[in-house]
Amino acid sequence: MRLVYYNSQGLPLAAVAAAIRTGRLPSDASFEAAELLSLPLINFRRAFVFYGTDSTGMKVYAFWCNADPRLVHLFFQARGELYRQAEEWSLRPVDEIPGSTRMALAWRLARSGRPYGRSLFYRAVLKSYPHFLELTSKDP
Amino acid sequence: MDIVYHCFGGTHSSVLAAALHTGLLYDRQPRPGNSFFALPFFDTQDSKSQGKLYFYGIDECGNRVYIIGRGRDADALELVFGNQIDNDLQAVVVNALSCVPFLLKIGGFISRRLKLPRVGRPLVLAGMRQGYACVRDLVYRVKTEVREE
Repeated sequence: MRLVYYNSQGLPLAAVAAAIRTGRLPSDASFEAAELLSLPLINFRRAFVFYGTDSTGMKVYAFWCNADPRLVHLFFQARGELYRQAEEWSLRPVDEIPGSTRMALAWRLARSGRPYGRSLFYRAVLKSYPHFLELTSKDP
Repeated sequence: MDIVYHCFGGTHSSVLAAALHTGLLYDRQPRPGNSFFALPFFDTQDSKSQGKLYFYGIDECGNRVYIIGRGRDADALELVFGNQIDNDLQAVVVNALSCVPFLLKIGGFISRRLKLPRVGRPLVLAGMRQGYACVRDLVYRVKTEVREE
């Protein structure tokens, strides 16, 4: 099975979840802004990226793009049919993390080039970090 | 190789492109009329069919041709079907919506969304005739690229 954390609002929160699951980010909130902002493709508006394998050996991916979440599920199903893959994709939404509105605003400021946007995004992620940890600790 | 044509509803331009690709429509025939409506999946899909992959046929080189409706989420579809995750997987994902004239959009909306095919279908037909040459060229380019690969 492959695990995909996805965000259908186009925010890289899926990258944060995937990074925690694969150990790129620590299991406490003791990391610097640079660690968060240097995650693979985190500056992209949309991405589908392999983040690594978790402690159980499962492949973990992050997907974020502004899209209808129902269609995202169907697209992954269709991908499995197209490539006749035996491996199943397990999709975990990262859309409704508490504080996502704050993170979305901060991310939009950061994307628009405001100097304080990135630091606001980092702080917003730190504030919601326990929720990320809870999400990633659940078994798929 | 697999070729996936996609458009908004997966029922007009992607069907036309897939039909031309698989030879169901002869690509030198100038603007066929009501024969469009005899094509499988043509003007029959609705929003519930979006996101589902339909096998359309096999072309003369043995490539499998599919269609899919993807709503407004072309970027998401292209990300999911892209091969950046597994390099050994090969599919060509083609956006057939780029060939859709305004008339076809309106006709498709009336016929499929408002469920008024008697009103929408004449507009669909007129729109298909307008966009036919563009779709034919698109299919020609896809076939040429696939052959070169």
